[in-house]
Amino acid sequence: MRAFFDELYDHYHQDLFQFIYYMVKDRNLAEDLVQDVYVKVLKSYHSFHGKSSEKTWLFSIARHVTIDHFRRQKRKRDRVAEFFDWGEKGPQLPDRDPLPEEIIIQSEDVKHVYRAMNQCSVDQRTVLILRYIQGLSIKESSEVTGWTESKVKTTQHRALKTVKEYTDSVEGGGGEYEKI
Amino acid sequence: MKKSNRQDVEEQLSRLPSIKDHQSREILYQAVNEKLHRKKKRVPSWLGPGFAVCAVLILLAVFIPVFMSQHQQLNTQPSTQTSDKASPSLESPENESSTGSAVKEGEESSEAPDASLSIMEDEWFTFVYPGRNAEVVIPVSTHDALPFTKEKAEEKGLSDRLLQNVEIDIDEAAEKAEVTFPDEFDPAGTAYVQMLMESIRWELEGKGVQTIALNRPSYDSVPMGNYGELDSLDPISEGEYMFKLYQYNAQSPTYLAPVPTEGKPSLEEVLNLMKEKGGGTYIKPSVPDHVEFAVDKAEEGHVQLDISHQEWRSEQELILMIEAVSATARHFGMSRVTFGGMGVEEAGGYDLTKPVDLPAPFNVEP
Repeated sequence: MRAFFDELYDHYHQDLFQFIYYMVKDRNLAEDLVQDVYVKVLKSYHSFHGKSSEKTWLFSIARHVTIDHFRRQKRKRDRVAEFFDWGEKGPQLPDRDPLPEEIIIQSEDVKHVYRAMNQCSVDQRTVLILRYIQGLSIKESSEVTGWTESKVKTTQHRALKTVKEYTDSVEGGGGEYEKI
Repeated sequence: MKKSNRQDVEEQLSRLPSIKDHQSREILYQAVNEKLHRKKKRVPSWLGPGFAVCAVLILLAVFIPVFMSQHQQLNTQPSTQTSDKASPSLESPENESSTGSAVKEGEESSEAPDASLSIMEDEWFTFVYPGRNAEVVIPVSTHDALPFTKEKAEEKGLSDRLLQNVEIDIDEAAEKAEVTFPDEFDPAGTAYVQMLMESIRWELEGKGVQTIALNRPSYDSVPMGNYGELDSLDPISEGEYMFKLYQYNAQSPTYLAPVPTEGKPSLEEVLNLMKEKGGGTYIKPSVPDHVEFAVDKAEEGHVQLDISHQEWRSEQELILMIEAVSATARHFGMSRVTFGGMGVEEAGGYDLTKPVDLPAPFNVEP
């Protein structure tokens, strides 16, 4: 098992961690979730039939682990909201937390884009990360998400529009706003 | 104000830096190994089902008496069926034993309260199908989250749904719907385009949408034949339509069809227009020509109608009129109708001695 773990780590670890980090934007949480990804992978490697590439298979597991986390978070929040009669909210991202050191040193444009991703839905964020940060093709992204290529394109289009609206509003002096 | 374009955004996204994991390979492996071998605390296998059975028994003990008393009351609630199959359920129980078909009608009538209950409590999905001559669209509501197949639509005297390759995304908070067509979408024919636009508008009707945006993955507009490139559609607005009857042939069901009104007619004017011919090849008036409507009063969503008429030719005629008037009144923003002067106290589960609450879905398929 150790050898298999090492192989995965060497080939994919930083990509997996980065995918999860950009999904949840919390380093400690990303460290925890990436462990869960390895647990699932090591438990289910026999179910990998090679229909997709190993990389897209791993990303699809990472995506499911992240979505499971958001669902658990939502259930927990709903229970609290029900108790206190608070309203419905989307996945919570730490938008007001300090930016990670890797982002701090970037230009203002990049910082805006980083924050703009919080305005996107989970599906939109997934596509943006796969396409622009991981550099996956439309076909690979459709393998990861299990969607049609058309749906990937549509989601990408909407995500770019959401990001653009946010960056335009910030750069135009509209001030930052939060949707989460 | 600096505006970015799509390429700028894409370029900025690709400049987002890589984020490295700081935990070492060894620590990660240990954590994974620990999680992998962590034993789950097991509960006895019978505990879950046992608990569920107890919970169901308690709920049944509490709710059956309540449901039974409500069931009695619901016998006076209207059915929302509009198709041919609906007519039997509209027969009054007194007629049950008169003929073979009346027995069947009576049997269905006894099911009416359950149907009303499910309409109030369950989720409905509305899909829109063009009529056979591409002149009107027919919204049909079902509990099924999937639309009719082409074959089933044809069986019902309808055409295939046009929105198969279109994605509709509703942002409830923003009261906005985004309708995305494939990049290569390029429709031909004015009738097709009109049915397409009407299908979109009616599938979004009643969903609280104020803006309907049209786009394609790579463009912010959609070619719509003679209408040119469109980036939005107007949602259905109050009083824009009246409801007449659509039936393709004698074997297919009768549906309520929204037919556009002209100008800005009042509800009273529209109700009287519903007895006129026109609206399409398979469209019939929904109000018999011997009927005259006068609106006595319309306030706070309750319209009181004074209806003068000659003898009703059939129960079916009466019921279809009630359904069409109800749908039209609802479309004009009403939620209750008093049918005054009908000369009958009950029809198809509608207690006409009281104001009738208007159900939201129409053309309901069981």
